[in-house]
Amino acid sequence: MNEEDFVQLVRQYSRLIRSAVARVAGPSADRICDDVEQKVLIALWQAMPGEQMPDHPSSYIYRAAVRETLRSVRGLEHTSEVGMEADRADLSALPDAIVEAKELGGAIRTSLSEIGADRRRAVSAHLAGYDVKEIMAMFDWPYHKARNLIARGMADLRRKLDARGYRD
Amino acid sequence: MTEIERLRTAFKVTGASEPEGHLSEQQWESLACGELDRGDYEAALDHILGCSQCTDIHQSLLVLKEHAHTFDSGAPVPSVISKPSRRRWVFPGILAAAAMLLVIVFRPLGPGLNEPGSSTPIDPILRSPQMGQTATPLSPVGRTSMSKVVFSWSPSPTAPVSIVQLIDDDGELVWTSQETESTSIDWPIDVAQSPGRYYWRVLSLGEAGDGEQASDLVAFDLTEPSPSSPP
Repeated sequence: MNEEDFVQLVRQYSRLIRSAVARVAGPSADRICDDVEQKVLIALWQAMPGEQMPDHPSSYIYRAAVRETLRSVRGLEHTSEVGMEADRADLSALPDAIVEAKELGGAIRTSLSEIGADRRRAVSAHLAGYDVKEIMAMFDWPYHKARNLIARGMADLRRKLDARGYRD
Repeated sequence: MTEIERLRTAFKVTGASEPEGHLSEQQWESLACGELDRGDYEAALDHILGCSQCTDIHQSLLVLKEHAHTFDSGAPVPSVISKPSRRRWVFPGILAAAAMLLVIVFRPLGPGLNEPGSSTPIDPILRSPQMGQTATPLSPVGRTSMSKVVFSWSPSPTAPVSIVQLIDDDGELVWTSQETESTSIDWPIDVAQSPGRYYWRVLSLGEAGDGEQASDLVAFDLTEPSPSSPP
């Protein structure tokens, strides 16, 4: 791989990391991700080896990209626009809404602890925002197993929430 | 806020980050490269699903992993890029055959939507044999101007999760949407629009995991925007 190819790879990764961070950056993604892309571009460039190119530079840069994605998302947690602050903003900044969400969240987690391991994992992933394809990959489940575990786990969860007095 | 949004928000606000159990940078790297052994991998996932900060990191890394291999030969290929069941692969073939049959059966009943001299457009809704608790496609139907096409439907009362399928005039399945609990979805950006007839329908996925219920197959004709239409 020559230097030009390496530079091209770095640019592709910086754009991809921008997209990756945008997935979790919330409503301020555009503004935040401009900064992220620039920082990542610089960081990946600095991670470029000196005169000695590694045997497999692309896998080397992939690992560097993993680290930069990790650091970028952790960096988001320190901004006021994203993370838990954004979740609270979603609740219209109403203290009652936050309290209600926390109570419901506690009931969800207690209920999940009472159902089988696979259904618990499927429902936890579903509630955490993973799509079915991702859940299939995470747990190495075929499509219909993943779908069924989510559906049956959600039915279990609703029954348990109903029993705890959390009805729609 | 829908029920699932309410549950997700509540789930997330109680998934506060806890310093204990976070994956180290090295562990994240191993996870992203598929190098953790089974036990460590499952322990990592259990922590990730209980910690909102690690969920965010993991979901970002999934985006990275999903796309990096498309331009970097050294990046790992996702273990499951798409693993549809055999039934899902068989399904488009059946759907294509059904669409072709419906076209053949229904076209002689009246002039086509775009055929010259047509004064009484046919009913664009082609009845599928399966009726009951299915979604109801609302738009697009009939003549539809290109540009921003939005599929919208009334969901099945018993199955809120939907998948949209778009079929071209040759009966080829050209797009299957992600599962959604919404009741509308935009025309996919990776499917080029060209004038002509298309068909679409909604598959409703039941909570009980008892399979898919297909809506009516609906026809629409994509037409060039008229010159007077705003861009």
